[in-house]
Amino acid sequence: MGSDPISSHVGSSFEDWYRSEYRSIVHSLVLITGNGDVAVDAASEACARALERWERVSMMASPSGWAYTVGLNVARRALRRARMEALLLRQTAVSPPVREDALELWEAVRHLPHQQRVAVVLHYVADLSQRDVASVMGVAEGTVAATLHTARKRLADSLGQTVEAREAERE
Amino acid sequence: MNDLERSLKDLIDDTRLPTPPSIDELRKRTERRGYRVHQPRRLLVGILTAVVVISGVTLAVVYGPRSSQLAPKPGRQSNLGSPPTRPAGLQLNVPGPLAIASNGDLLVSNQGTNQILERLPDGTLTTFAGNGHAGADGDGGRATSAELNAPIGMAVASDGTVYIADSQNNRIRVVSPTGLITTFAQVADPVALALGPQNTLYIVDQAGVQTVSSNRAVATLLPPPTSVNGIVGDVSVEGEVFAFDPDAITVTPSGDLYLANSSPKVLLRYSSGVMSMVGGTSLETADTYVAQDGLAVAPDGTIIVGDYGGFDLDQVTGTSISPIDKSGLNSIAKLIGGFRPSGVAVGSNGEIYTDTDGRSGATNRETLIAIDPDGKAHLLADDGAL
Repeated sequence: MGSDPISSHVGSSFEDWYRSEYRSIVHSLVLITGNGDVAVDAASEACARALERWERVSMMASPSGWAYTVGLNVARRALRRARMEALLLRQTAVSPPVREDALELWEAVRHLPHQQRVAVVLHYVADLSQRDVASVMGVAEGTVAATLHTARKRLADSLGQTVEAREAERE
Repeated sequence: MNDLERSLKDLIDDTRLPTPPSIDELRKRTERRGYRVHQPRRLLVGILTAVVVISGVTLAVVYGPRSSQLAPKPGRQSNLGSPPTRPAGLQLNVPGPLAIASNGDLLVSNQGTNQILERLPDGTLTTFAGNGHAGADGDGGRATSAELNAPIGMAVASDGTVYIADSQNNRIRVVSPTGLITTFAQVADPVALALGPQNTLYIVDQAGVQTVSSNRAVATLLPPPTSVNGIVGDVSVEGEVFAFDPDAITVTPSGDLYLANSSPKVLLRYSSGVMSMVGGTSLETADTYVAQDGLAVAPDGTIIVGDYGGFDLDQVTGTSISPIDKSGLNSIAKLIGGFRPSGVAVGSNGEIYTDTDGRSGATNRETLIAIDPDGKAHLLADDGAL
C-alpha cells in the first residue's frame, strides 16, 4: 500500500501534488461523510491550506496525510455545525455522488461504524499506509490494523448477505 | 490492487462532482477566510445596535453586524429533515459538551435535538434550553421555548447565568438565572466557551479566541496579530510553527488557558502571554486529540482532558498528561470497549462526568457516565437503546 514517500514530494510543486491528490481526497471524504458538498468543500479547504503552507507541508513525511487530517477536521466541523452528522450517517438524508451500479457496496460502506469506515477509506481509497492512517485518526497503528480487519470482515458479511438475499428473492 | 480496493476506488461517480477549483480559486479561498482578517474587532460596533430597515412595505429589525458570514443561516434547516418526533429532552441524541450548572445539575449539549438538557438530582433529563427545532427565534422569552441551531460549548457563571455557543446561528446565547434567553454576542461559528477570572468570557470561534469582558467589550486574544513566516493565523510554539485552530478551551482560576488545537492535534497552555505545549515539546510528542470543548478544570485546578483520539480520559499534571483510571466503565453492562469521550465536566466533589456520541468505539451507543473520585463508574443516561 503506497503512502507518499518523502522523496516524492520534497521540492515538488504544489500543482503536481494537487493534481495527483485532489480527486482522491474528495472521493475519500465523500465515502466518509456521505455528503458530496461537504466533501468537496473540505477537500478544497484542505488543499487551500496546503497551498498556503506548501513550503512546510511539502517537507512533511506525508503531505497527503496532513491534507486528509485537515480535510476530515473541516468536514467534521461542517457536519457538526449543520447537525447533519447524525442524520446523514443514520438516514442518508442526502444522496451521495456514488455510481448507481455500486449502491450495494455503498450501503455496506455506509453501515460500517465510523472508525471502520474512516480506516477503510483512508487505507484503500486514499492509499495511505497504516502508519499514516493511524496518524490521521489519532490512534495507534495496531488499532488501525485491527480496525481494518474487522471492517473487511463486516464488509464481506454485508455484501454476502446482500447476494444471499437477492438469490432467495429470485427463488 | 485487490477487488475490494478496486471497487472502493471506483465507487464515486465523478460526473456528479464539480470541477476541481483552480490554483487561483484556492488562493482566493485562503484570502477570504474570516480569521485572517480579524473581523471580530469590528463586531463590537455592530452588537446591540438596532437598525430599522424600511423597504417598500417590509419592516425588519436587524441586530448586530450585517456580514453575511455572521448572519444566522435558517436556510440550512431544509437539509436537516423534520424535528425529532420522539419526546424531546428525555434521551441522549448525539450528546457533546457538558457543563455543571450553578445548582450542581449537569448540563448536556444534546446536538441531535438542538437542545441543552439538564439532569435533575433524581436522574431525569429535562429541557434547559431549546425547543427541539433548529432556528434562531425566541430571544426575550423562555429558554425552553426558544430555538437553537447546533449548540455546542457552554459556560456557567457563579450567579447561574449560562452561556451557550449557538454555533450555527453564529451567536452566543445567554440564559439568565430566571430562565430567559437573549443573544449576548455575535461571533463566527463559536464552538467552545469558558469563563475566567473577573467573569471574562473566552470564546473559541472561527477567528481564534475572543474575550468578552463583563461590559461586553469584544477583543481578539489569539492568534497573535503578527504573522509567522508571512502567515497570519499561524503560531510558533517551542520552535514548531503551525496553524492555530482550537476546538476546546478551559481556564484555570488563575487565568491560564488550556486549548486543544485541532490540526495539528496538540494541547496548548497559554500563560502570561506565552504559549507552550502540554505533554511534550514537539508536535510529535505532544500529539493529543481532544474533542470539541473536551476540556474541564477540576475544583483542585487539575485539567481534565476528553482524549477523543485515545479513547481515554486524561489529566494534566504540570506539563505532562497521564490517563485517568476509567476501568470502572467496564462494570457497566454493554459498555465494555472503546469509550470515546465527547465532553467532560467535573463536579464540586471531584466526580468526573463524561459522555460519548456513540459515533465510534465498541459501544456505538450514546451514553452519559459519572466516574467517582475512587474510580467507580455510573451510567447516568443513554439513548434508550442500552
